[in-house]
Amino acid sequence: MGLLTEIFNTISKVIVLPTFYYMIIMSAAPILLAALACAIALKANAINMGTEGIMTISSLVAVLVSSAVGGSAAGGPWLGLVAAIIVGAILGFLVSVFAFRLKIDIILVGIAMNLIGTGASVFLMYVLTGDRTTTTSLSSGTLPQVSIPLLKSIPVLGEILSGHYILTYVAYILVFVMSFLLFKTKLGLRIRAVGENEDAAESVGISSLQIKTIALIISGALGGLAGAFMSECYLAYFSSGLIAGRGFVGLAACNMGAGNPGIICLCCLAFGIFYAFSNFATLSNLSIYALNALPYAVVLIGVVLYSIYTRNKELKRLQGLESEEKSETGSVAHN
Amino acid sequence: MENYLVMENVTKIYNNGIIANDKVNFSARKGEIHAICGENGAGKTTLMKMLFGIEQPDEGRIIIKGKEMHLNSPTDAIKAGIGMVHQHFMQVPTLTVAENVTLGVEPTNGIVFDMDKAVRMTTECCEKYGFDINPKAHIQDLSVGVKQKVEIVKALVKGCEILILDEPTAVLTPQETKELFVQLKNLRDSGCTIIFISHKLNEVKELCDRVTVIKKGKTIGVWNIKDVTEADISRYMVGVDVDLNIPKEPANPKENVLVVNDLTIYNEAGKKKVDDVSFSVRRGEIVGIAGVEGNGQREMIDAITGLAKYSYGSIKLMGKEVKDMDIGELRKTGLAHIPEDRNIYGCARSMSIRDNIIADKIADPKYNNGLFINEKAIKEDTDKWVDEFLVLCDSGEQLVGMLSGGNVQKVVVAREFTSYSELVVCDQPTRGIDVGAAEFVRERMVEMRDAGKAILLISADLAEIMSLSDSLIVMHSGKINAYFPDIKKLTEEDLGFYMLGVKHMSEEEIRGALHE
Repeated sequence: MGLLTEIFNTISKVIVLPTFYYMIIMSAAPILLAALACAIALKANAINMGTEGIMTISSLVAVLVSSAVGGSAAGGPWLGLVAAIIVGAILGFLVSVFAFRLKIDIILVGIAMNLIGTGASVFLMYVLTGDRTTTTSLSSGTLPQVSIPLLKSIPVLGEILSGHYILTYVAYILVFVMSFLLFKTKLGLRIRAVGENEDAAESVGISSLQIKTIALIISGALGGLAGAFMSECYLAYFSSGLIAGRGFVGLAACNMGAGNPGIICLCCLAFGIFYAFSNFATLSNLSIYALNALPYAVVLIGVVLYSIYTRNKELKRLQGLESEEKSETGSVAHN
Repeated sequence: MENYLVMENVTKIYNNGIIANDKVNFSARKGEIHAICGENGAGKTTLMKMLFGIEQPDEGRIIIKGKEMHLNSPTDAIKAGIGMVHQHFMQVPTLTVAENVTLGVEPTNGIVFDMDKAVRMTTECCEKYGFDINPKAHIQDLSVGVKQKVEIVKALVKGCEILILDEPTAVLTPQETKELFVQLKNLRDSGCTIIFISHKLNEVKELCDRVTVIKKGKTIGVWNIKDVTEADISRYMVGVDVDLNIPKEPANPKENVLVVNDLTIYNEAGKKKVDDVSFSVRRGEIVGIAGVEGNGQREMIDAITGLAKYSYGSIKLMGKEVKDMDIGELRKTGLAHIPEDRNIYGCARSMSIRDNIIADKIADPKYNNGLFINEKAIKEDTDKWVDEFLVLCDSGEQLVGMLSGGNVQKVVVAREFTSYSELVVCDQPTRGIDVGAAEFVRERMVEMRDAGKAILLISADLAEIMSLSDSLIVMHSGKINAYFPDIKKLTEEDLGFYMLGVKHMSEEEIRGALHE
């Protein structure tokens, strides 16, 4: 009972704070970017498991490039951002090369990308900075925060919605951009066609290899953006374990939204609640370790519930088909 | 009238050495419906694949409108004005009709897909040729007949002047077929050339203007449809060249092992594929099933061997109803099965010959002590069988995937013929294997029969089925069309007539297939 009361107390303390909602929006942003990266690949039936690894490498690249040109004063974070996107896109292209040209199972390529991400980033950091854990010795700086005129002066709402890092806004804008790309453009149509029936696309002269490659390059670039968010917005440095599974949480959100940006965004915000919650450990007597584990536990529960839900839906659909078939065959037999 | 399309001396030899087309000549005029008829494996599909750029000919020329064409991909073929309606529809289920129809030639407004224009293109095409399709409907909500129309419209939108239809009526109901024919005739009258591949001679006779018959990869001839009867076409298509001359005594059939009673099977689309079929297979006889592919044999065999469910009627093996048995129980009851596709259902290619042969017997206490398998007993027996079935290999350890087709089939036969079975279903047992291996398998089947097993043989090789079977069932459009208790009285010409539905037997004669 004591534990439940404590949880209840913490929740009631936290939900009245505008910063809590600010934190939800901010915490959801990198997951959202990762989920969108997974979404475009998923729609092309080229599942990009390696988003976590792509985020890790590109977040380090962002910091390194930024500090190399002289940090915030010299516009370093912006260059770091561009470099992270380019590196992400290259890594996405590599996934497509390994998976489709060298015919390695795409799931294995993704796992390899994640392992390389962890190993290569620490190695590179050590070689370049002499430090094994963080790049705090470099002054790489952060991207600017944006206060939105008018909105910022509205009480509460202004506190929640204004003053975010620029990439946070970009993440939410990209939800619309991605919807547009997938459902309104020629490229999006081809991506969905290839993803669903490759033979059909090939039979009308569409190269599925080309479409999947494009999808993975875009996916990689978005992963790069998500990486830059982590090391140039969320924190001002790179550290090993910085990404902390956000690529995988994004993958989970992407699958729960079946690749549809709108639903994905809602899933990410739901996960964001628990990420935000873990930031308010000081207000609570709950174990900080338990709070830090909370988002991941919730993702796990969410994925399980979601899969039960889809399975039931599929069962219902099949039952519907069966009864339909029965009545149909019945009538045919009657004839 | 001059020829619009000419395929001249076209030869195609596949990598495995099979000559699919041997100097085939085919030509079609503008504004005609031209049928291509031939048995399974005669080379019709290969010929059309070359015309649509999926395969490239090794020799010969393809000439369209007097110009020699090199068609290296479907894209080239589409550009040359050729459209193909595949047997399996090439459609994306969650997209709309308009999106599917314009896929590949999408109308755009900048980078944006112009849905309104796509709908307009589809509507215009539908109106022009008299198709009634809602361009905004999603493919997944449409019936098979409408899906096929979408497939035709898809080709027409891309400006196709030669339309290839590969057995288009196989999936349609009679009403849908009738409607399709009206539309195809309209298309022809508006100047389109239609190539119609079919086994159904009544449809060919009704719809087409000319017919080209292909047999064993060679052109037999071209006729105006009004100059030939269905019986003529059938005679040109079917022909048995060689008597396989398999030494065998007359059969001495005993009691029923398999009894199929009033079996009816609907496929997923709700179409009746097997229609009230009854027959039995007795101990000590080989019952052959002949029929043109797609006349229900596939569905029936899948039901008998437990690979698929059936809707009505009963199948009894050794007196037990098999409907709710899984394949394990079926095999225990006495079924052995040489499946049609040995590489998918017949064996595990990445496992050794030994493991493949022992796979169905591993539960036998002889080969395991409840916890561990008895390697020694397995090695002894499988080595013996490898020798006995003349599997050409280094040792039983060799992976099945490394063997030639004939030897893979011998491994499958070795397993199935040594299993504890009463009924052996042999589905195309010698398809695609060399002459020596085929002969070996056939002799073994006769041996099994003489040892008192019941054998059900399905084969597209008419020579094989005529020389192996003791009695023969002919299937046509889901029904048994003929039953020959004594195959010696059957001529190949007659067999062709029954297979293609030119002739029908009386119900009484057909009832003879079920022995009480």
